[in-house]
Amino acid sequence: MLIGATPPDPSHGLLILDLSTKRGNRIPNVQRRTRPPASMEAARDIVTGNHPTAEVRSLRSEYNCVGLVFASRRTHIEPEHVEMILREDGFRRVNREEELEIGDVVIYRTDDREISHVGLIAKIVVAVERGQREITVLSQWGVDGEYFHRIDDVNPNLGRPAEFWTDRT
Amino acid sequence: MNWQEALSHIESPVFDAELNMVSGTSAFLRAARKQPAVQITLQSMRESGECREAVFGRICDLAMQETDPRYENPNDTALAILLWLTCYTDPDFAQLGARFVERAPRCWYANRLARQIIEPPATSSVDSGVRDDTEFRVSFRNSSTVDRFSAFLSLAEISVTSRLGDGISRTEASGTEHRVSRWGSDSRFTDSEQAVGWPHPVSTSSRSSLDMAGWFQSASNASAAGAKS
Repeated sequence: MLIGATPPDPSHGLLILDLSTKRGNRIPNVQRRTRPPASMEAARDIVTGNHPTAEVRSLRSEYNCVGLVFASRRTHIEPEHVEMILREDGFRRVNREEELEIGDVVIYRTDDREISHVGLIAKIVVAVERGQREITVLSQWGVDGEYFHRIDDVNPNLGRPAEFWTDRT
Repeated sequence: MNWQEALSHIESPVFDAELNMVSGTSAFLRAARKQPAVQITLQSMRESGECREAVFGRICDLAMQETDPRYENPNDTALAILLWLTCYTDPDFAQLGARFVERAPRCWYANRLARQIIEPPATSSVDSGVRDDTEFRVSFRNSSTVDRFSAFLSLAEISVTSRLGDGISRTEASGTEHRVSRWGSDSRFTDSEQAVGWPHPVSTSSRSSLDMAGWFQSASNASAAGAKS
């Protein structure tokens, strides 16, 4: 992934980064403005109040979940571009949860299969007594802040964890 | 929750935070659709001219409100949703409101929606309804809305004509009726009228970036079902 910068969009003052996939195709993006502290605090209260496993990592709004995962928190990328990025950056699908490693990507989809959210696998704990893996994800919830959370403990509007991808060789 | 409470909730930081939890405009609108406050406001706008007028008044107020220049406009979400609802309860108000919202500083969703209403992309499923050389009339019962609207007309007359050259070319005030030349279709909405459906062609075969098609379609279906019952 290549990142550069172009002058701010003259009509709206928003910064657009020169961002492309490894194959060189441009990734549309725009850096969103910082939201008011009161909005971010309201968001934090809602998220942590409704999702017991969610822990705040940071409260910034210039990037979204896709920007966190694929642009190092620099900018906002619409979820519709995720499939192109996965394909052109050489990601491969991880079919079994047991093969997951920290740093892999989880894709959330809506009931109609649209990509609604992405996150990074941050922690994997094997609960031997229950024979289960407890997976913690790090993701940016829209522009409402970045949270560590259990993989399935997200706002319903963010969809459900549907698939895993990795760029590991 | 009545529509006044719903309107108040749409302007709240809680509502703003809930809708900004998703990424992308289509997800934003999909999330909005599920909000009870949005559903109540939409229903009330369909049934009540007073509600439509109040919503338009709030669009004017919020678009004009001074906000901290260091941050994104805190009214962005409310402006976007109120304008979006106005799109298919009162297209003329939406056209006018979009011009004000477009100039509200540092908005994200609201500016995008306003631009799409003013200049729909070629592939858009939404017809803006803008026709040159036509007249647009709105009537208000509430004098405070008239005052706010008049203030906006003055503001728009200056900025639109200087920037676009063909915006509002003439305004007239007669009682509570305002006529704006060269804007919108020739239609008229008053408190006594029933809410009208979205009058422009809606195609579900192409989807705009704002993903309005499905929403408009379902709204039209609901309206048709209501008319039959």
